[in-house]
Amino acid sequence: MQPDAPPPQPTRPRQQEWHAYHALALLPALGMLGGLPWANRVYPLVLGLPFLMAWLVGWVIATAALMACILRLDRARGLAGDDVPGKPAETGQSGTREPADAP
Amino acid sequence: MTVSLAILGLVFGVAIALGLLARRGHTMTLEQWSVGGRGFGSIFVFLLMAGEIYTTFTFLGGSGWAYGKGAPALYILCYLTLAFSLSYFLLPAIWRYSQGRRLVSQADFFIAKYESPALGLLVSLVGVAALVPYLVLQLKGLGIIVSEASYGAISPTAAIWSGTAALIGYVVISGVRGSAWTAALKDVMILVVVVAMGVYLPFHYYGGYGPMFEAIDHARPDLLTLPGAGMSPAWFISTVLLTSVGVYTWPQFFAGVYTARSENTFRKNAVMLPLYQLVVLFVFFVGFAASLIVPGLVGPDADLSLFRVAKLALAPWAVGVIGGAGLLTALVPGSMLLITAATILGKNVFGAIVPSSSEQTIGIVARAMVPVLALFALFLTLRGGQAIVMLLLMGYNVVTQLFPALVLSFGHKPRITATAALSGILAGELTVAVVTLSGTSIARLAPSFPQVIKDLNVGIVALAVNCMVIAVVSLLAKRPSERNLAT
Repeated sequence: MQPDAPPPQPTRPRQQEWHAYHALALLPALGMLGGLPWANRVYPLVLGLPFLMAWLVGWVIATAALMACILRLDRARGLAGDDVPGKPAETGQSGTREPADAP
Repeated sequence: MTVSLAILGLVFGVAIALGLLARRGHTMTLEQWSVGGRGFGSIFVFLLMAGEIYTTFTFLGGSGWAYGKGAPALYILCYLTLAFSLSYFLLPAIWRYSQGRRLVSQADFFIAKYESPALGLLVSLVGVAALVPYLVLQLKGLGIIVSEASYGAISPTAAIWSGTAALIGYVVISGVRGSAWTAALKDVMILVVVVAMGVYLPFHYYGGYGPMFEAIDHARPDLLTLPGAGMSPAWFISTVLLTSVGVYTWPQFFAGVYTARSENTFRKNAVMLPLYQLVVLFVFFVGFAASLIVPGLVGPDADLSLFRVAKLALAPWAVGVIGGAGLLTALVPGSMLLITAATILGKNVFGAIVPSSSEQTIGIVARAMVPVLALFALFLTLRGGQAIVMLLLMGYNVVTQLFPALVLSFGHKPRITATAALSGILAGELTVAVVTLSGTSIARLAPSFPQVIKDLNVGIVALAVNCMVIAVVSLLAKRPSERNLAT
């Protein structure tokens, strides 16, 4: 990955493959915002922070953890290991935006 | 006073020097100038992307909103986080498509996907229209920083003028490479300044975070939770959703995607950036601390709270360092915004209108657009009295209208026609324009609606109109062929 110029090949675009675990990425939005009406309070303070603030900060940290899990799972399947530019498509799945089940 | 101004000048000098150094060894073609020749590794892209998190918007606007409005400011923390989890899927898709197609701007992407130059032109104009309030915000921030750090010796107007001149000079000299280097310096400085202030002020004045928030809750019980009406949970949720899907419809973020060397960069960033942006929390601490230490700043003046409390609590040299960090938070993103808008106007507007123009002419036009745009933003800055966060939300309402057309373009070919995309964007922008110019809100349009609906961000309404128009146009376009099949 060191050479300066990436080979400017006209690529056959590799499409996103969808797996069930990608749905984990929806959790932050659902939890952070869904719990908001309930979490909208000052007390109890958590580590000195008002409850609402602590709730949101907790979800920010959880988001990073969830995205790290997704990245690991993607790597395990070779979906995110392409630091080498121009690696061809693995499965040639007809890429769609709908979540497809694991092959 | 002289000490703080000297430090401010020194920081600016270093930024210019870094810009000049970064320029050496690269001939400045339009591609070099605007997307850095597409050779940026993970760390550079990380800095460029993170660089756009810590703008004057977060620095002054974030503390200003925590000071003036309290808990609603926390939306900043949420929308960025959700935007990063979205980026994990969105940005690699955009990057893959851009490979080998020599895309420079966001409009290039839409033109290629939808095979429609008209859509490209519309996207360009939308992008520039959204960038203008964002630029105004940066200039406003620059004005505040320079005049406050000079302890009032430089008037706000003179400060905005000199800040604009600095920005123009910086951009013309360095282009995007300067941004990446200066972004590194900026991030270190802002990290140190914000964390130091966010720790020092609560402990020095209140004896810790717990006591501080208890004191605030005692003195201003409305500040630490979302109110029942107005900036209520309904407003919060709709604003976070709108702005988080909107982040990557900004043309400068789009252009930032092209600078990467590999698509995996974005996946790693999606893990790191949510944690990295937790520093915003310390900006809020400063604003909350200031709410009882320097009370009385109302309306847009709340944006001054960070500097007011700094001048009260800290020595002039420290105020100078804070000003220097603030200067960089305005210069780096400001230069990105200017470069993006200028590239769009040169390549996608001028180039589309005069198709015979050479690459070189377009490059010259793009660079000539820098001072034009900056002076236009300067004019608006001197006229308007909006708070910083309000300016950004306005830009978001405009630019988010591109999101449906962006998402529906993925796959082997777009799911909707260029006509449907065009009509949707136009309808959405029209709604935004009507709502913004008339200064209305859902509460005023439909006073009998339940509070939850009245508090929704109007941008969400425009987005809904946009999607409905796309659906209707797609259905109408489909009907003739279905009739043919039926007969």
